[in-house]
Amino acid sequence: MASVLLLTAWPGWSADQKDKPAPAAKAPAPRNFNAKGPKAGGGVPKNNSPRINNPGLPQRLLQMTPEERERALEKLPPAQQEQIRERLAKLDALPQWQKDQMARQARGLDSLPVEKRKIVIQQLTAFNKLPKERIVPMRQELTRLMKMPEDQRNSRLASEEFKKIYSPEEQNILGDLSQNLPMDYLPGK
Amino acid sequence: MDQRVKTDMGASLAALDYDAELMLRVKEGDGASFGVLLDKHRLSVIHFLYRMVQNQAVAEELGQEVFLRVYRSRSTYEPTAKFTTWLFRIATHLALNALRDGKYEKLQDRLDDDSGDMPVRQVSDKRPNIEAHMVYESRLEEVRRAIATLPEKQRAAVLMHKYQEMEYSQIAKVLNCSESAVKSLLFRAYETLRARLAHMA
Amino acid sequence: MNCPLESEENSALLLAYSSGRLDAESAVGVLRHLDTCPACQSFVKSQAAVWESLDAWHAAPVSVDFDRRLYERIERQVSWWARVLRPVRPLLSVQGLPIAAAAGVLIMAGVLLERPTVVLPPPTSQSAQAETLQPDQVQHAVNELEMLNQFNRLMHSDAGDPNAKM
Repeated sequence: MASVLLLTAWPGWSADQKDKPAPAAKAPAPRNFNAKGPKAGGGVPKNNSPRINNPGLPQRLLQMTPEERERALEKLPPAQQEQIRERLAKLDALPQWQKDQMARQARGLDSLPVEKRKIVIQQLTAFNKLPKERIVPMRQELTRLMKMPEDQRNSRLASEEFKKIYSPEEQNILGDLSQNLPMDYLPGK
Repeated sequence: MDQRVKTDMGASLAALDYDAELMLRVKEGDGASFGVLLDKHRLSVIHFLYRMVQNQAVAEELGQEVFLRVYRSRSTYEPTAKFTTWLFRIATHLALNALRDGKYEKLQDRLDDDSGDMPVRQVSDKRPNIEAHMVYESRLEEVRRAIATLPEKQRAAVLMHKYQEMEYSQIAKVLNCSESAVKSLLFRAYETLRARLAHMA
Repeated sequence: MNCPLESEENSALLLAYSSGRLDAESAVGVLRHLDTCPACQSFVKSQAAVWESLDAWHAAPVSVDFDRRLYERIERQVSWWARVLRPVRPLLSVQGLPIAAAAGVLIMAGVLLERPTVVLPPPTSQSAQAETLQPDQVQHAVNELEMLNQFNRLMHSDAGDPNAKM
């Protein structure tokens, strides 16, 4: 009786479990599934080397205390440590709202599937390297495109007028970014 | 351009495993991965709930509950299905309960109001004139009413099929029924919607 | 192909076609059928109106404090459990099960009477303290931050020299 009472006195778990959705029809779990590191096989990208992309690391680096950051960097080669410290110091000097925005944006990138993430980063880098005189028109077009509903955006991207104004490379930048960037990549979002 | 960013099978599998992989990291104690999952799925979950219950405040409350349950279940999480299947199963379960409980009975009444609850951001805000705006709002109201008249399971099936672009098999797993049952649900739901909305062509 | 009005299966085919989800080969078959079937033409046309209408139904933005409220709720739950279990833990190790059982009943009563309002510390960056970072990962993360910073500068409407380095 006491045992039964004790068991029923674990309401937190039972409350959680009661509302937990019934598991799907018995399907085998994906093979070689391991959160600690990638393994070959299954749907996990075949990559036996440590992941370069560490989700959440950009924003963690921004938010770490000096002690935490020192601990995080201490295993790096000294020359690299110094270089990273200098670069982080410049980022630290930014206004808090800009740091918050970058943290949100970094999380947005983390939320993309691997292939899309690669393309978006590639195109963000390409955007950053645009000639000075192309920045304003590209910025304006990107903003317009991102605010459009999808079908209107697709029409614009496919239009002859659009293809006349922008080079093929610029078209790719605008298309890939407008279709994949979250809205908080726009100023003021 | 579209081809490069199009989600093909390989990318879909990567996306499937990526979400589940993130959840397994949450299980291991990585809170940042929960943040990533929240960022990725927050909008789609809340928008789904909004279209189910047609009340933004309720949708957000239910959305909170969805992610709370995801977090609470982290220690027993097993990736036996797509992460989004599990996520939307929780969301659908909560939405159906909310509708059946009658807790939000006044939902239907709100359809008759000039509700300030109506979404404020729609298509481009550059509406040429007031008449066009009124036409737009009137169309929107018809759509909302049409969806609201659907029985709950049909409504859930349509919303997942249309806005989440789920396949029948995944909807079936979310609703815990067969694929043929999902086909029936969608057949009847779209039949109703065609009857109510075809004139808007 | 039979007309959709005759079967759900064919209706599913036309639904897939009209939403653009049908594979190319099947779509060709459907298109051929549409040329000769007014009923299916009407189906596709009215279904297109449905898609268009549903497309126009955008949902509102989510409240800016959604995440904060969620993490507060998570915090409340975990802290509640920690507080409740703290006095009970010693009892659980005692051989007197009835004592533990009685405590369990009290806990149960507490749960039934009042929803947990205690807070679980939200996920923090504590994991960074213990993690071993690879040099490439750090490099990549800093590159990413700088890229985002540069992008934001360029996107800001009153950026001075768009190509100025950090």
